[in-house]
Amino acid sequence: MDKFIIGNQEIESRLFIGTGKFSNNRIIPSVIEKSSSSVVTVALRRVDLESDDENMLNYIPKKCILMPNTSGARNCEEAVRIARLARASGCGNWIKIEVISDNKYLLPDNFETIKATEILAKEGFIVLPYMSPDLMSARRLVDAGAAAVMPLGAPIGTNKGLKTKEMVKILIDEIKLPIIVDAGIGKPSEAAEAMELGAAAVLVNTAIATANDPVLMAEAFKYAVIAGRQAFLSGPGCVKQYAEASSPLTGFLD
Amino acid sequence: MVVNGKYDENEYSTIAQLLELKKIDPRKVIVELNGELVEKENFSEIKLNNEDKIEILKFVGGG
Repeated sequence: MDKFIIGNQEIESRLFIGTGKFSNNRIIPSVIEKSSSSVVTVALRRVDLESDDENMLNYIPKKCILMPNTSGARNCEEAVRIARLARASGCGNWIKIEVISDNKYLLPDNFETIKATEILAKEGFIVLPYMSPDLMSARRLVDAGAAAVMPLGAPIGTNKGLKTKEMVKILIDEIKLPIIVDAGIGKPSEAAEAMELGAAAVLVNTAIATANDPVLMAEAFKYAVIAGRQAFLSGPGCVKQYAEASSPLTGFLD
Repeated sequence: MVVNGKYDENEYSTIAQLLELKKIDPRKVIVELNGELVEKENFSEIKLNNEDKIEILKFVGGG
């Protein structure tokens, strides 16, 4: 049985969904349904006191695991503060650590992320740190108590695909925790590529939210992740330099 | 007091009263008072004063 386990919990779907950038949040329930995703990320922000604010939690089925992110945090202290506030909502103890002080590429700060992981893991959070794929940082995240490691495929929102493929492959080969490719995946084929590489899961937001038909795209990603995982488990054949015929020699044409 | 970064000259006795006056459902928000998290069961207990800084937060879309 191909089980996917994080923090002692079995997760049904290897596709995690982000809820940002949707032109209309009302389609989010359909997106989640068609994606069959069981882990959904959200962010924490100030309530708009001037207007009648909608509630994102209304759009996310109760059976989904909520994974708040610490977006906005520029250092360990801010990430820890946001995580504690998020947990106070009573929606569970999963947290995606996102510490970014680079506004051009939105690349995560591995150093601050490692510090925040250690503090929050000790406080009983299920910590999924978003990081720049670097083996030494990943090892430190393991030691710090992370439940998984989430390397980026490409900068957030770029839809560039698995640009960090070689470095992600190293993490998959060397790190015992689930490796979840998060950020940059722009097409279902790229999600399949990450899964064929051996990633445990992928997190997709922009590629779905900004598609012309996000609900249809969410379903496409669902199939891509299943196909990619199945391909990985099947053990693909070797890549060869020279051709090798698929049909036997005819004999009768000689 | 300062509420979500803006000066608010109204007076609120408790967080519960503040939320009620602003028509905010207390079950849907997370409140931080002077940098400290406030548990929901304390919304009616803790007395506010004019020097307080309050953050009223909620979950929004994010990746």
